[in-house]
Amino acid sequence: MLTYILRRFLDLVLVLFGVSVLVFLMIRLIPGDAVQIMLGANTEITPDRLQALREKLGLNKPLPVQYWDWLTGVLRGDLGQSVWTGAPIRDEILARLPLTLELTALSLILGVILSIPIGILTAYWRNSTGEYLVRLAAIAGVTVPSFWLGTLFIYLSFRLWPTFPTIGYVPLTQDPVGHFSRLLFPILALSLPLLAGLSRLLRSTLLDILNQDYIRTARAKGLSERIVLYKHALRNALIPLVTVVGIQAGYLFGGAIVVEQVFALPGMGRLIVGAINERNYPLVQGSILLVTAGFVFINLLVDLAYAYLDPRVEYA
Amino acid sequence: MSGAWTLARGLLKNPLGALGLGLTLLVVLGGLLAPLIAPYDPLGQDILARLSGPSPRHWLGTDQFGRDVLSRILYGIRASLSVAGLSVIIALLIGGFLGVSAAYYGGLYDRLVMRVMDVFLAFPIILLAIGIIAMLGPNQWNTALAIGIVYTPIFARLVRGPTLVLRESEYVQAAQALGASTLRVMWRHLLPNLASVILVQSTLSLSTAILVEASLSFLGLGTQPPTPSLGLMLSEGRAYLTLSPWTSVFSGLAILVASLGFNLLGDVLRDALDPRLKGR
Repeated sequence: MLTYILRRFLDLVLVLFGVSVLVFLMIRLIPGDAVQIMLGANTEITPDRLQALREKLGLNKPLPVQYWDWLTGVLRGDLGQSVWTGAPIRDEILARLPLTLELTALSLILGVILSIPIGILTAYWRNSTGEYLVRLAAIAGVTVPSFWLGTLFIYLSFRLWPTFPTIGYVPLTQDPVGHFSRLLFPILALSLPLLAGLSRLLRSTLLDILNQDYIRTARAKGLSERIVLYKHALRNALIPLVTVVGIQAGYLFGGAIVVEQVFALPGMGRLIVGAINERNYPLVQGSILLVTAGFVFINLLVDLAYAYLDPRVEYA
Repeated sequence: MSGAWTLARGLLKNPLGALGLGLTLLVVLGGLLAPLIAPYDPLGQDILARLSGPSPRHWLGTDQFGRDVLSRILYGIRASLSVAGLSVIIALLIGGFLGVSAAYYGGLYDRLVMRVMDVFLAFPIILLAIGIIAMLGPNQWNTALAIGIVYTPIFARLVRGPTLVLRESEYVQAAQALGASTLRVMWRHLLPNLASVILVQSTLSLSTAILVEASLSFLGLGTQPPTPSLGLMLSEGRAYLTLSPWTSVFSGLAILVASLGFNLLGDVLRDALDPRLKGR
């Protein structure tokens, strides 16, 4: 087990190195002169300003030196400064990240919790009509755009309950009820595709397991279906669910970036889109790096949890 | 050709396959024939009929400039399918080549290629696409390129496994012994055997690429106005949501129908081409 953890950790370091190189190269690979593009989007271009910005971003040094300076800064927690405001990028991201993480986490929790009863119920609905309807609903659920669903929620709540607050943001410390009521629709819109996918996965794993010999033995010795399901089948069926949660968290985060725009929530979505429109490349770069590194770690944790939960996984 | 017929008949036997095929045909024909069947110019404004609901004159209503929503949706589907289709072709060409060659040559090259693919897979999909678009600038074709790059590792991984098995098969070894060039072996002997996995994955990837394109356009990072785009229409319609929800509702519905059609089709195709998997 220890060698497995070490190996996975080494993989993680390699992937993070690759991610850092790609993100670092982002500004350098921009077709044309990145500095000119950045300046042109905001002020008049003068040779002095070009030179100043180039020096500020460290673009006047050799490439390996640039990477080293940048990487050591990142590892110290310094993501550089926002080009226009001069504010530390780390602070700008940390101000927006919690909301997006809250959205992602709550949607993930809701999706996982609801998928368990739905997966179980549909696993016992096995005639051909059931098969088709469950499959159609699952695929439709996965393909419905969350940002459209959110828009529909806003419209319907305006029709049915015009005073219900749907748009905007209220900090948790200021008004907890207002905070969560404004997050209700975004969370519902984000968790539906996840719910559809996870329910389908759980159903198909359950169906495989319920056909296995040890389940037949459990039934043959007279155990009630409840006990067969909860004590024997469900525990094993939940393991594959764990493996996809890490990947799903990444999808959800991406979805949250878009859904935030629907509900005018000041999270990472607005930060990144705003940064792109202002050609504030270091901010885009820092956001992508930080979020991706976070998900690489989450996926490592998921893999380790999976290895721990399923004794059949080989650590070799 | 007879293989295609058998496949189509198999699809039609499954109600979901028939539905998927029907929706896909509807969307593809709608997009292809948009210039012929759209009742109005998608950019033509009818200021007197702004934000009107569905009517015999404008089946799906009009937007804030009095433009016909149905015509804009048909052209939007055309744009969306072009971007999604191009992105899958890019991913298939680059990813397919990298995956097959990695498995074929093995060794250090294989390890290096697959490591780089792992790095690309580490990024959340939308975030990587946004990063690439931030570099290249937002427009339709850069969106296709961005989604294509993001999907490349999926295809590389997909074809690498089967190629590893095929490389050891007797007929590939026989072809090599007969002196066939590497390219010929890949093209004539490996590719046909990978066709079914590639077909299934391409169909499913089209479905998700449509969603990613719509998300990016919704954020203003994809297709730029005034070109009709489903994601952009949905976004613009939100300002008039309470007054006239038609633009947002119907453009979102079109995204759903397009993505759903390809996904159903891919899902049923996967069963039809691999009998070991049952559709669940």
